[in-house]
Amino acid sequence: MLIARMMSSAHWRELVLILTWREVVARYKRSVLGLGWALAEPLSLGLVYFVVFQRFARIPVDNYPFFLLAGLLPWTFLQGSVAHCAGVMVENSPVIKKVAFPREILIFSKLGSQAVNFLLSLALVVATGLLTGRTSLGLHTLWMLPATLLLLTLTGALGAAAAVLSPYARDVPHLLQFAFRLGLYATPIVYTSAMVPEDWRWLLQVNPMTCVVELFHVAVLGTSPDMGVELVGVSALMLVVASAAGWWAFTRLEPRIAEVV
Amino acid sequence: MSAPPAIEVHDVSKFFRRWEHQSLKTLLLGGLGREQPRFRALHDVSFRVERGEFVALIGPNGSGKSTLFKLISGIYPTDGGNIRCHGRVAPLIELNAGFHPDFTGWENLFLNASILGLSQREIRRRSDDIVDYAGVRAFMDTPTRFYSSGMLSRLAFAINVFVDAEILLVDEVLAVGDEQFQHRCLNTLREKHRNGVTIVFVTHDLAAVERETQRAIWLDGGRVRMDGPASQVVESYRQLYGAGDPPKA
Repeated sequence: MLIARMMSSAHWRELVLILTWREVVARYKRSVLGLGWALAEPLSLGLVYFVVFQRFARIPVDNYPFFLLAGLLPWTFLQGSVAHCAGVMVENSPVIKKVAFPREILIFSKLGSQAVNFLLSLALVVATGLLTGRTSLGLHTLWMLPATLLLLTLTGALGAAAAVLSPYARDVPHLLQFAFRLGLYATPIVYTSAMVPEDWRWLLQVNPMTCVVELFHVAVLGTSPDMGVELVGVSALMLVVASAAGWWAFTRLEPRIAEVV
Repeated sequence: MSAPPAIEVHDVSKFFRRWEHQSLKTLLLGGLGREQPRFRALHDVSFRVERGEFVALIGPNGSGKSTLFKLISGIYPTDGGNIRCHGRVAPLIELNAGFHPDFTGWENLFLNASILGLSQREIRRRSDDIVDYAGVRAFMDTPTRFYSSGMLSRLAFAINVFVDAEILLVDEVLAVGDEQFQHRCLNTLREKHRNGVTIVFVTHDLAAVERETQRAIWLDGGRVRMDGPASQVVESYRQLYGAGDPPKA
């Protein structure tokens, strides 16, 4: 409904593109490493986990570097986008207090600029996999489409909720940092879901990121999801619920946001 | 004349929460401030502004003038009553506040004008006029945090003027800039008025009210205290607050 409100006007669509582009350019203009920074986080995390879990702990996962990256890329995208969105209302308070415009534009442009990074990094990882012969293209690669769609849905909704809640409660950024640090280990990113004992499976099921990460595993590695359709299904349902809740919070608090920023 | 009025304000009230207690629970589930202490910024305010009118809004600090502007331009939601505007509204409120200090003059110009509702093509067509009007051409590639406050308000005023709104809400912008620029602002507003633009003008300068406008609305404690010909309203206002200087912002 919010998306409809914004997309109904060519003008607001244009504004989202301008803001997105400006943010992408600004990020690269002022830094030497440029796009490199977008890759630095998943790559460095991936390297650490690779050394710790495969070299030291000898976790038995085939093609572990690409398994790690397939999960870390969407995870760092979610984390980075939501963290950026949390500050977006305060950052733009001068404009919010002065002009009436659909404030979800600010969310979508943050999301857009982060998505550019994400897609470029993903393309880079896939290309590296192909060149080194560690991964292959095929029908399984198409799973990236639903996976990306689910990821964008969740990220937008959590970002929107974080954006409107942060001006009211300064605890939100702290809470997010905490939740993401723990959430990383509650998602099958460094381990496979098959390794999780039966009595801990509920944790992966209630985690909306499980389905996203599992679908990226399938898309990049070409393996069939090793935990069955049921886990992905329940997790996807949680994703829909979480996304609806996020946008509900946004629609509830957005109208008065100019009074609090 | 059956043209709809430019602005219709009907029984509008506005409450603000005092923010003495807050928690995420009351925020999301507690009916948004229904139980929290609030104060009432506007009490059932009603008036109409016809198309092409030049109206002054006067009143002491805290009488609700700025709040009313933010309601008319849609920045705040109303808490009772409704407001209808016919035509594009350009709010000349807190002028230099709408800029991003890290962006250059050009970037801010495009961003600001497009948030105000212009398309990229419209902005390109007007950008030269805007820059010339503001007289900041030499600094358009400089980030605006290096601008003087006068340059900021000139650029902001120019952007708002060239948005070509049908309704202009002018809040104390004449208090910024040097005398020459103030003079030019006023001339521009007069010209806009001659071209049929509706202008609502907040000021503490009673002489300007008498000189420029036909009608004045006097807000006091969030209520309309008087609404009528500018000279009469200003006279009553002066009687109440003394003939000397009006209360300053």
